[in-house]
Amino acid sequence: MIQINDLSHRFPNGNLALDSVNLNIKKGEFVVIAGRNGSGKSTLVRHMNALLLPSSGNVIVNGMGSSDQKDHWDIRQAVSMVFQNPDSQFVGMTVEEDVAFGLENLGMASDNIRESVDRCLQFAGLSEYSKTSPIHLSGGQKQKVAIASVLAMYPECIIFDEVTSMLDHASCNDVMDLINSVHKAGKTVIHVTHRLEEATTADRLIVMDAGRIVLDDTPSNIFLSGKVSDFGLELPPIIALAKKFKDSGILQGYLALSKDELLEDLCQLILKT
Amino acid sequence: MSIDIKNLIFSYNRSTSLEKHALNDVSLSIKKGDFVLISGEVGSGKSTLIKHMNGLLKPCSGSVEVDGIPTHKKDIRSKVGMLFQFPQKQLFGKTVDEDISFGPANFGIKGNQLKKQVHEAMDLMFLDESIASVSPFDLSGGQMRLVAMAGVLASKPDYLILDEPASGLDAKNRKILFSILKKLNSKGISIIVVSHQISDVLPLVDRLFLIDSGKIVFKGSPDEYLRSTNLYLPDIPWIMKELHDRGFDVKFDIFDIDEAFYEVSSLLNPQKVDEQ
Repeated sequence: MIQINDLSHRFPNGNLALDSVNLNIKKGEFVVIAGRNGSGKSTLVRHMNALLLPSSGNVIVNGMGSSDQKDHWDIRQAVSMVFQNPDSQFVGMTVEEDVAFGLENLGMASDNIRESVDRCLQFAGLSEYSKTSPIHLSGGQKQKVAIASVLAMYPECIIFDEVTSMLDHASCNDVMDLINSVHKAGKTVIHVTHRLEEATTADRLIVMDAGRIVLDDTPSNIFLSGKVSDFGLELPPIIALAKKFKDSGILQGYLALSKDELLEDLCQLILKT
Repeated sequence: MSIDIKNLIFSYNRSTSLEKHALNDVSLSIKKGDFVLISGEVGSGKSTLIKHMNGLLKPCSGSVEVDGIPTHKKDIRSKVGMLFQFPQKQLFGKTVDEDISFGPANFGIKGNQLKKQVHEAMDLMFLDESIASVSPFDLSGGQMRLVAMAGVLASKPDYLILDEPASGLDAKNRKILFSILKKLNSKGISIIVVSHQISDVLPLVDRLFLIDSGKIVFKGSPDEYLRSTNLYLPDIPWIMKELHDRGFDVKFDIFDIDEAFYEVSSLLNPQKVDEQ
């Protein structure tokens, strides 16, 4: 779906933000891109829908190269993006107006707009807020509106760029649940974050550092490798604890990735001894 | 010597159609020398609450007193220092020295005494004297935070309030920050940390206040918190408590990964762990 060949990006101030990145993302994949601040992860994803253009190398989305300006519209139709701060992307007076905005611009018939908007709001669990002003919603609900607005445009792939970083624990879980359902509904999902606990349900975890891809594997393999701390990231406490039990040979088999899994593993083990 | 809040009620946009109740009958007391954590979800009223403690907001009803003085008197601001989230945004001086001096100078401190207080504050924050003449905006993000904190400490507050001080800091810098707070607390300054994350700070504090929808829903020691049922627990103590509740013989006031590992391992194989 997205193919990146030898991509480098140099900002006007001379900073090399991406340094010969090669990456291939398949249709339907759930990829998490993690890395410390300044590692180049946001720069990388902005190349995937032609918000930034390569200094050298190329980016190909569904066979279209981002260097050809006439394809930008089609690329952005295929790959949408949700940003960190939902307040900066609201345009409507009410939630349903906001979700309808993109479709109205496409010139869609009003009956179809109504149907799409209702379906997307229902998918995001926001039906009861359709007539509410987005500014009166909580941070998590705002992010869900932003996601519903993007879903309404029916992209094949959605990039979530640090969408959880301004949210508290409960809203964060809520938004992650929605991101997981978006993936289950068949979309390609690319989620940028520095919280590794958000990678546990992904197919693939990519860690970036200093403009390069330094790790690219399943989340479990990367967690077990013990390498994330080399790149300024921290294992979630539960996974660090599970890894300790596994490294010491006390627990065997799959690495537990959630607190419920680890608790079950430990209970069974204690009962056996 | 304490901050005393009695039956505090506060609404934003009072008597308009946008009226929003933020605090509902909050009473609490923080003694000088206490280290407390105020926690709750985003929008629960934590920031509104602390803004009452140095008079940035005035109660709609109820009372807020610092060392017996109601907060609408100006002089309590030198007693209660406040550090907002992203404190680097509080910086404005041409030089680090100018920035840190601003607070105490405004409280009427001059000359050598001012120099001494600025110097002491920089010292507390591990800031080298050589950066005093540098523009704070040329410093790294981490150093800017330290300068902002020094700026608050230079006024020698008795109470220091920090709103989400660890947000955006990586693990190493969080540890440094918390060791600084411990040091300040050992010098007798009350530390009031506001955070929606409990696990980092809880092991350090004397008391915890949980706030939900503008009401205090829990007050007590970290131990009382861990023993309470039906409150959200961080993952490590959650696992330990679940094991404990299922009848296994483990301690549950554990936040540390290594300690949790040791506790469970010794249950599984007491001899082996003892030998080590």
